[in-house]
Amino acid sequence: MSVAVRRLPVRRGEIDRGAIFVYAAVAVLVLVVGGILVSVVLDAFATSWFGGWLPDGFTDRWFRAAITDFDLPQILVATAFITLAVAAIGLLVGVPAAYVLARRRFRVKGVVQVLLLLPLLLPPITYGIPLATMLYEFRLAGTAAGVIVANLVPALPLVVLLLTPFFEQIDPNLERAARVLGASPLRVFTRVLVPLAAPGVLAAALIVIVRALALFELTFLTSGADSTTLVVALYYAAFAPGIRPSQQIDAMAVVYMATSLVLLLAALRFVNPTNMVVRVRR
Amino acid sequence: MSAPAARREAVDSPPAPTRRRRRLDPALLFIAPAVALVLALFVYPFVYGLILSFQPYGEHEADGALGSYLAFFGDPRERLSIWNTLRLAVPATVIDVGLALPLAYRLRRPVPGQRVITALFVIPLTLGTVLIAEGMLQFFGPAGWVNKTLIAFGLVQQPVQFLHNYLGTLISLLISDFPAVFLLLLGYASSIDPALDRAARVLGASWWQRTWRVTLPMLAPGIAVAAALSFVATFSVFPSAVLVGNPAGETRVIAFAAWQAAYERYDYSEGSAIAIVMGAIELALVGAALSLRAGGYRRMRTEGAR
Amino acid sequence: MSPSSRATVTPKLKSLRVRELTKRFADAAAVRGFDLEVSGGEFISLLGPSGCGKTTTLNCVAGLLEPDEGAIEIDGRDITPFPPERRGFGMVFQNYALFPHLDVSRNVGFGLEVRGIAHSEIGRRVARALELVQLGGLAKRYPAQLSGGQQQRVALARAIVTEPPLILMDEPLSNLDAKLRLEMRLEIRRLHQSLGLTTLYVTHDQEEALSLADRVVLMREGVVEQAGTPEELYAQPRSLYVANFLGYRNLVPVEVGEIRGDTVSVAANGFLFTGTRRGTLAEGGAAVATIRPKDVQVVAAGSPGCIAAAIELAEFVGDGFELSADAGSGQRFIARTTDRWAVGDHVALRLPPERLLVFPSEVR
Repeated sequence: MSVAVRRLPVRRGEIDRGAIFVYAAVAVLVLVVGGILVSVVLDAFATSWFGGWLPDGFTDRWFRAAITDFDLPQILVATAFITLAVAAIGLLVGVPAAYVLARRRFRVKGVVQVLLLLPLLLPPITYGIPLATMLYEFRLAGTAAGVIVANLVPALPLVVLLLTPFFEQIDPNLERAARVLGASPLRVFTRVLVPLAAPGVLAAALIVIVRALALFELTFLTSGADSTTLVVALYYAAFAPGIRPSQQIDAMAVVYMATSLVLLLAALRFVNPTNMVVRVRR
Repeated sequence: MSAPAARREAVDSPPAPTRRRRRLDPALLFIAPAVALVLALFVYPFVYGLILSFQPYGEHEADGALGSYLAFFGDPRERLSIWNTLRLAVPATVIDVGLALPLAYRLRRPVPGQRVITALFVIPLTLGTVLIAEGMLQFFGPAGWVNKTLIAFGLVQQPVQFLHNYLGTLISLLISDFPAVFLLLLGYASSIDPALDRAARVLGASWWQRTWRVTLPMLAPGIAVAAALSFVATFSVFPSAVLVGNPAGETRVIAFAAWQAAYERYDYSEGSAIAIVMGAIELALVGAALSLRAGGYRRMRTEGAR
Repeated sequence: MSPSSRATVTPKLKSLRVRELTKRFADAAAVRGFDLEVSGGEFISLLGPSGCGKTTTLNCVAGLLEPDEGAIEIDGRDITPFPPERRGFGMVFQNYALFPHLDVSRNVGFGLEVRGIAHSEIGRRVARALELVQLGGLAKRYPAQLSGGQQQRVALARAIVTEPPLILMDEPLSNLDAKLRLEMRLEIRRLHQSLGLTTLYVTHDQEEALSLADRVVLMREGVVEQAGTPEELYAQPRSLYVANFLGYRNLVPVEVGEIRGDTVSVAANGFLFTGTRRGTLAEGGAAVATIRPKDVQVVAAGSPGCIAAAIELAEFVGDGFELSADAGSGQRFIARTTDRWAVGDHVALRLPPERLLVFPSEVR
């Protein structure tokens, strides 16, 4: 019996229908989201855009107008300050909490975990309205401090949820080794854990910033004239159509979009996209 | 051990080293700021809002403690906002999960360009609801590219009214919410041990049998979580209901009703009442979904069988 | 040494033939021209270090990987194009791959369920399979509630319940502790014999392979280095690689002296000794002499025809001692004896010529 050695394209010839479906879905996504983004950008640079496939001409005057009309520099400064402050405070408070939740067992742990999950499970409006009312009483409503405080409510749980699994996967023996070698608990935290957790902390920081930038409701409910962030300014601009030309609104949108996408690109260098959303375990 | 023996041992054995007094674990101080912050900024306002909602204001003051709730449920227009919200949130969640599930399922095994594809899906997540809604004004507008294309292909004669109605809000929700659902499901799908699929194959299970008997049951907890979180996001729809919806009519959602009460009528009591109703409805539905998940998941948690 | 008793039941498989199997991953060949013929009832072990291609071969036989070249034949029929679900084999995976959402009985019954077999029949066969692996009482448990050994037994039951013509096992014991490993080894061999199975067993553990298999296929970098009965491999390793893998732990670089038939005299560090020739040697060329620790005889210092050495380490290993002896010039010998020697004792080492194998130095 002589069976020749042969190449076997047998099952390889089968068409991967799943992959075709994936690419079709990506095509739709690119067409719709890409279409939205490109129309926004084109409109922002258009002299006018009536009826045609493309704008009638191009100009940068809407951006110059946005700078003065919307007080764009002020908005950008406020946005940067607020998002960075939210991320910084969120990490400062959230990192130690995530560590303890990853490593320790204590009696009210379950309660604490639920407490830290709830703000992510409730619509921001639910607690945002009473929170805004409360901020009025403390005379914080309308200030940057008030906006930061409000944004911390979902940001802190996000940090804890992102970092708890990260601390869990750091070998506890590293800490034990450091303790045996004579390091105090505080030194173990600062010298061993923080360096090991740095990539996770950086990723969490970027995710919190990206999310705070896009989170609308809480800022909307608590911000005032000098604490308006980009997303709220964009909402106000778009909410009053007719008052401004669409091109000017779109110029605002382009500024917001550019900021988000730059941050996203930075984030994707350090973060796996599947970690951009919170995975609830347990 | 018999009782006398135990007593003897208690006498004979050297005094046990004094057990360290049950002190508070200093590590717990690490978690105190986080707990304090959530208590102060989330629980306290929530309780404050709850109390406020039972202290009706203005014309509803005469109706007693439940005045604000009576005002909300008594007014058909206000009451309708619950239905308006569910009418958006439920289909958006179902459609997004329905589309994301096969995608995530297939992408457990990478396809060429996997990284780029997942990165593309993150973009709408980053942009947020406001920008998607704002951008739709041009793209889906009467003179936008969508309508132009439909007319160019002769599919319609007149531009389709995509904006300032139910459809516009639903589309914006579908786009903004899809990435989160997809990425969540992808995370769950890729954490399923591929050896299980191989084991099922060797045991003779066809593609359908593997999908129905192995993959979907294992994904069920992930589907429940993704659906729940998607519902949380779509149920609190607000900016897109205003920007591309019809906030005076069919997309007058509950979040908008709460905002109007508090910020246009300055009735913080009714605003809080509506917010509480909103939270209660949502928690009830999410709780139901997640308890299903807990039941299915508890026995699966394992080291050995991962 | 190796269990040579054949199955008492007629095996369902007549023959498995793997022809010229080649599988490449990104241009590098994981398996090259692998050939194997197995007759029904045989227990074959694929042995080798990680990365030698043994698991790739197994997965090709299972149908989980598609070979680039070659064919898999069952009873003379080419099954290469068949997907795994149409081959009807049983397989035990390294991490067992038990379905965490199904209880023990549904895990075991999975293969029967997907074949559309009646419920009553499934119940009966599952119960019998669980009896066979001594898990009768645990049918309603979930995998998460089982110990490692119990999970292993479930995986075995799941593989045999469909009465497959061929059972494939991929390092099934590697996740168990030493005691359990010995226990399950016996269990696997017992099931193989009593059910008339034909088994292809992948392992990196030479002891496991030698004790379980009727024939051992030792692989190296994608090709078969040597195949034969455990006795053959143990007593007549074909290459230095095989020898080293099968416990020839003493390696001495030597210069080849006189060759007389299969006997060769060699020299190293001023010692002269005689060994058995393996492979092609050239007089005056370099070679490697190798011997198992238990074949090194430790005798009183000054014995004639021996190498003088000093005991450096002595380790108690249950049924004797493992000694490390320094023969000077950096040459150490490991020996296994039942005699007690103390560290520092001066001794002589006798290397029996028939047990000292001399291989050409490997160029690879």
